[in-house]
Amino acid sequence: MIPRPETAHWLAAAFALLLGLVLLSEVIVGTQVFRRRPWRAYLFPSLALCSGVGLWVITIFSTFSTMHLVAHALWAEAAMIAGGVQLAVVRGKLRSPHWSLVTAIALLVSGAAFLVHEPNPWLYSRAAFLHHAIGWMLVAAALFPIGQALRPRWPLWRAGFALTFIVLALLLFADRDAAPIFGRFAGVVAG
Amino acid sequence: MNCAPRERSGARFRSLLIFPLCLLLTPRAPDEGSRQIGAHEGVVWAVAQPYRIVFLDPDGKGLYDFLFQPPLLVVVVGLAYAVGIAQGLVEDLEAEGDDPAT
Repeated sequence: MIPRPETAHWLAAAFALLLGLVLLSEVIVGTQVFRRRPWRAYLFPSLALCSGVGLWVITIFSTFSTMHLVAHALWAEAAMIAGGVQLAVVRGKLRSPHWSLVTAIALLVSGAAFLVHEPNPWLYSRAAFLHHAIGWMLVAAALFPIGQALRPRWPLWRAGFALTFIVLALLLFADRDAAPIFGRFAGVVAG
Repeated sequence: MNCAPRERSGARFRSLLIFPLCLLLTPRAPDEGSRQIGAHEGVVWAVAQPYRIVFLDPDGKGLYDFLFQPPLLVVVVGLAYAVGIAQGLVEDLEAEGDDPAT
């Protein structure tokens, strides 16, 4: 009854896609319009919190490897802490823009966990390639919330943060448990 | 100076930016009339990679394979976004554009 890793990754990709669309919508229409309906302000923090709960479920299924178990537990904690802090920010309990640094730390920890729990080199397989790509992307994307903390009004940070989740979704949807990097195009494209 | 027309055109522009997200991901446009649009991202993906649709080759597949098929997940996310978020956003944008106070 335990789902294959690629199945869990595709589900996570769908969630990341929804998160990215919500964030991108806020960037496009502006925070003022986005928060005309108050529930929309709580959408991203709530989804982040729910993704943490989902990751704990995946952690339960990850008993086949201590590294995978620890990595998924770390992602779950990071998502729940970041989501909880953002909920408090939206609610007005926390006011400083520097609370975005918690999101930056969550991204850094998540990226590091992706990199550390993948023992194979980049070109070993598609799963190995994507784990490295996602890990480094999340480490680099930690710059966006850091920028938000330092210059909250600059829209580039929020747009970059939103697009991070869209790219994360694309990479996770491309994941297969056992496949060459370019799959059916392996004969056409070197890899 | 009355800047309402400029604000209105700004809201229209942002509506046009939301529109491609829906166009890519959903079968419905969020603008007035809600026209049916045939192509969306999940369906395009399903056509491009039909082997990722388990229903077309169900032999030896398990429950999870049927429940979580990537192109169909994209369609579900697109529908949720269009129905739950995008439509309300476009309505609010147009209301903002029509509001002379803004």
